[in-house]
Amino acid sequence: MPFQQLYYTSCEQGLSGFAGYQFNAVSADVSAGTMREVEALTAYEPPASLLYAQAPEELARCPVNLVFVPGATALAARVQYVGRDSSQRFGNYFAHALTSPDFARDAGGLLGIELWGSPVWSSRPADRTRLPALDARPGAGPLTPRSVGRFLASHPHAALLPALLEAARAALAEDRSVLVVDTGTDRIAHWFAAVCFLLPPPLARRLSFATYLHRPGRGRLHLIGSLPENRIDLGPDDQDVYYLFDFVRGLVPALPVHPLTGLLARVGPSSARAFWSWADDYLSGRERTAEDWHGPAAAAATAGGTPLTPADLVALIAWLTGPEPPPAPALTAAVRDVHRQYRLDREQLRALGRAAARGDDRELAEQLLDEVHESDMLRCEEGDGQALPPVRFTDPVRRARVTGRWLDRFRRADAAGALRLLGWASAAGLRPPSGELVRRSAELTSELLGATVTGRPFRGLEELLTTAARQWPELRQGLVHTLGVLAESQRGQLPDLLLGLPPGLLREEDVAGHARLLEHFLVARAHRSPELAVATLRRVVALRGPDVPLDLSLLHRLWPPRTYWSYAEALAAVPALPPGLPWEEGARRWLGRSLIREITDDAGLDDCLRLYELLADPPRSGWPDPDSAACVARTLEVRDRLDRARTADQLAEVLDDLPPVRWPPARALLLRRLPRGLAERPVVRPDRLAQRLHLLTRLSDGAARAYLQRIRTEAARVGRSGPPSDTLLGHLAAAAGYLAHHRPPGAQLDLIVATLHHAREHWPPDETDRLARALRPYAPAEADLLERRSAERRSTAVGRVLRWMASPLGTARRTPADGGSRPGGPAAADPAPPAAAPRVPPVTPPEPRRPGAAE
Amino acid sequence: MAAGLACPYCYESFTAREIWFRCSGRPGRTGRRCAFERDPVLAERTGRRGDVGPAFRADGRKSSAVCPGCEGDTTYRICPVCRSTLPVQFGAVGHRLIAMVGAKASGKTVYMTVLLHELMNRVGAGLGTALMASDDATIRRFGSDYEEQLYRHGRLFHGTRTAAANDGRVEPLVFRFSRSRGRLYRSRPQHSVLSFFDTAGEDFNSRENVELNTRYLASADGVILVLDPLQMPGARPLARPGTVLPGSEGVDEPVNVLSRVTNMLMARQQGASGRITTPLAVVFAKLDAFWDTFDPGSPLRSHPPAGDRFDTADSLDVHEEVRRLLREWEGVRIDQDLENHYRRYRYFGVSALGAGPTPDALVAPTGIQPYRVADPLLWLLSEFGAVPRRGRG
Repeated sequence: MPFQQLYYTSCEQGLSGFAGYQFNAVSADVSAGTMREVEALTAYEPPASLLYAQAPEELARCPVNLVFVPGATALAARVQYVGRDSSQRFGNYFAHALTSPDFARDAGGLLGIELWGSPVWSSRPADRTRLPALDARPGAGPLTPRSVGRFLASHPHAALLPALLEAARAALAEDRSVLVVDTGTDRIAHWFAAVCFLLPPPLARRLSFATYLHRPGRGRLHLIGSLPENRIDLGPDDQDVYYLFDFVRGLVPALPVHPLTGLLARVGPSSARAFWSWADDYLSGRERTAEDWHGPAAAAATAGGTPLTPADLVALIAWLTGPEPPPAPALTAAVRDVHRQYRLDREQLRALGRAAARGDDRELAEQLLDEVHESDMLRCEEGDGQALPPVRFTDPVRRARVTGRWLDRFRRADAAGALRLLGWASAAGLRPPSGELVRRSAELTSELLGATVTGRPFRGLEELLTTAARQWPELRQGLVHTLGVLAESQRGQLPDLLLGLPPGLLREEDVAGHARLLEHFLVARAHRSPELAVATLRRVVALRGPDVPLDLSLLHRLWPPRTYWSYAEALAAVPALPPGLPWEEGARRWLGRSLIREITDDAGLDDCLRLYELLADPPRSGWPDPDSAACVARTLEVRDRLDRARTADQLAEVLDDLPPVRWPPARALLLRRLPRGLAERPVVRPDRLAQRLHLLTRLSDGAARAYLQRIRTEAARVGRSGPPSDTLLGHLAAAAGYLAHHRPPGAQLDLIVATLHHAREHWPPDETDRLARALRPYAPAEADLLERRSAERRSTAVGRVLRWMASPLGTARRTPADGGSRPGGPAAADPAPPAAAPRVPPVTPPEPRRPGAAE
Repeated sequence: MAAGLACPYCYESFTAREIWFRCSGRPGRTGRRCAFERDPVLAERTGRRGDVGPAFRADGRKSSAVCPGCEGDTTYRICPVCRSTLPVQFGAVGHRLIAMVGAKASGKTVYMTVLLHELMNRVGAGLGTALMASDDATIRRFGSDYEEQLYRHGRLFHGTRTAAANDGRVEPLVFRFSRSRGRLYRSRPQHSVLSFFDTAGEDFNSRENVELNTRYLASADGVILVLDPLQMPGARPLARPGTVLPGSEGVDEPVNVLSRVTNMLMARQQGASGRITTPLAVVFAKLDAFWDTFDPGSPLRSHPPAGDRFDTADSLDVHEEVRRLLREWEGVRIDQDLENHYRRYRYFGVSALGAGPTPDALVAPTGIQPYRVADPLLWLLSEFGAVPRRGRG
């Protein structure tokens, strides 16, 4: 059925019978509804500047409205301004409309926009009111894909084409309109043609458009054109109805562009027709959304050589593997195209492999699967953190194929890559030839170790190397081989190299056959695990044999960065060494420094003495240097005298010959054990002891005070725990003599005075009298004072009370709130006399107290 | 539907209670905000497809309502039929719908433009009235499409688009007419909403075309019928020499236009007398072309008396004078038709421009000098009681 025609204009003769706007002529059987639609769609107002155009050249400049509205009755119309009407009023226009129930068929496949400038259009009223139906297919106008391509190439805003395409696509989906403003309707028609050519043909045929509307705000078509001078009367509420593309001012809406749209824009109008003809092979006819179109379009683009973006690739592969792929020939052709043109990642290769298998192209599927594994290996080799772990190969044939590819890659890979590949092969269950592995491992480790002479040759690869070494003995063998070579060529650097190896990389059994490597291996292990140092020393000494002297270098490597042992370390190391072991001089100095050290606590003194005992007897006594050996001997002698002395007098004789200051252990022994030893032993000659207390003070004021403190503590117990012992009385006599004849330092003086005061005021009078008698030969004045005070205390009720309070019962009933003291409590330890009591002994007044002196 | 109000945009009738509201889209008291969306009814009836707040039904007699969606207050009252936003105080003040009809090229659009311009300016000031556009569209359209074209550029309008060419819709211009009404010691303004819709002459060339405007005409409170004497065979020879005459070929005669309008109105409404009750102002335009033929004492050679009231006596004088001219212009059938079918009608003679346009469809170099353009509307308004009149009749 050919096109029916309608002419609408303001004329004197037409269907209405009256002059004015009316249908001048129409074809037979045109319905009233069609006429009303044509009248509505072709309404025209010229731009204000051209309203009074009447000369042909002026009229030619007027915008032309080509309208196309698809539908059950498709309508295409060309509206042209003609100036005055029959009543001489301006504003007249002539609309020539074609309608058809099957536009595509009747137009011979032309798109509506291709009727722009078509020779089919008339602009002259007919003489009669009946128009014939169009007896031939309308000819196409000048708009071709090529001419549109040229137009875009020269347009300053050609880059906006993707946005325009996107807007047109959105307009189709969302009942919106795209408003295009440019300087002429010819340019607008080119834009529309670009959209129509590029959009999928079914969509393009659904596009309605009008190349010119004076008041675009009234338009409801998908694409609307207008000129800059017209009022774009979009009210505030209409902003979301229109996508405004003002190509004069360069205004475009901010639309996210779908990848399909970007692809179509890259294809360009010039190639659009061929592009969509290729795409025909891939289309099912059920495409509706952009996602539906994207895959087939990408396939067509690939076939035509248009580059794809990553998003296009994703869409293409998703489509090829989706629920509605193209038929087998097109499917495999698309797979081969994309496989040939693009570097694909693992998942893409896998997906294409599935698609190829679906298309029954087994050879391609197999190849793609190989490439998947190749890709896996590559990603693994490159250290891609996103690489998936391999699946274990169970098929022997496939495993052999993959092993071959793996070996190729393993041979070429750098160290890190090769190590990663080893991990991959282990997880995949590959079984590469052992000899090949050992050889390549030796090469790799040689490269790594050869490139770095100090430090950590495998920096950054420790974990990889350790893991691979754990999985592959061949790697360890290769490494041992390399180390063996280096042991010969770079002997001096071997220890550092081994120290640089990651822990756990080698096992002892790996180097068991190489004595030199083994020693360095053991030392390196001890370096990382210091608790193994002594055991390693013993192992190394044993490895070296009994005749090889112990050298300082080994000690330094086992106890870095030290230059001596602590007493505890020496106590562990010395027994571990064979007694007959010869020592180099440096090692002897190490031992000497270990033997003569400051001692800060009793445990250290104990360790020292135990160590000294180990070295006291031959053959170990020959290990230390002479001075150290002398220190050992003197210290042990002092200890023996401390142990053997029966009386304090005998013990104090050790003070007559003090060890030299350079032997701290011997002096520490005296300081820590002499005060107690003196206090616990009976005194035969208090006057002699008093004299040696002076020597003790010269050795150490602290030691002397420690001794006096012990005496004072014992004196404080008298009365509560029984009478004073003779030993205590002897020491008090010595202390009183010391006080009377040697002017002790302030703190010692305070201690002695406080002790005697306590005895005077708190001891039972009888005991006080005993003390007085003991003191009388060495400090008679103090003895007098004690006796006088004892007498006073006996004769007064206060004295009785005091006696009672001094008794255990009285002490037990007193509380701190009474101002009394408890056994062992602060008051008991406080030797300060009452305020009324004289603090200065009668014999020799004490010196003024020094600040900080102990009470 | 109980009649009472008519939408000034779609001319559909409804009661005040039936007025709907539209959510403002601002956050309500609960903090919720209604999403804007396309209103399909609004789009279909008016062509406005933009996203707007949701419409909802509430008691339209009140000035505001609470949106059920966001619980926000809104004062946007909308027509329940076309969903257009109604003028402020619509329903609380009087409203009048004025239809402008006439044959093609009779000068309806020019006359309406000059009439409104005069009411906004000179005539309005004399009468103590004010006319203001009632909505944004009217402000924009009257300013740029009408007033600017005629007054600033001096261009006459091209033919008005037919209703069919406008998707079967008309786009009335809606104004707020205010007049101070004195009462002893104080005066208070009295407001009316006036809705004007212009029609294309072609819309009255056939009954089918007239039907497209049926709803609008049937709901109109007053009709201004503009007739061009130059289209009347008896008047054309009397026109001043040099007057640009409209083409006569195929031109429908004014009496035919009147007949079609009358038929449509009669089908919709009749008074007890069997005559149409809608007041009809029959305006003969372009009188400047005939001034030379009028008697010196003709009321059509003088201006209406000044004052703030509609002068009934002067209007009746004009009415009779035009009736006399009709006989001269071979328009007796018009008078007969009116007498037989209309209970209230009156003749007017006006000249919107004061001088004929140039052959290039431009305003004459002497400028726009309107003559008696306000009389028809003032008569209609006086009939509605919106303008006081002097004298009876």
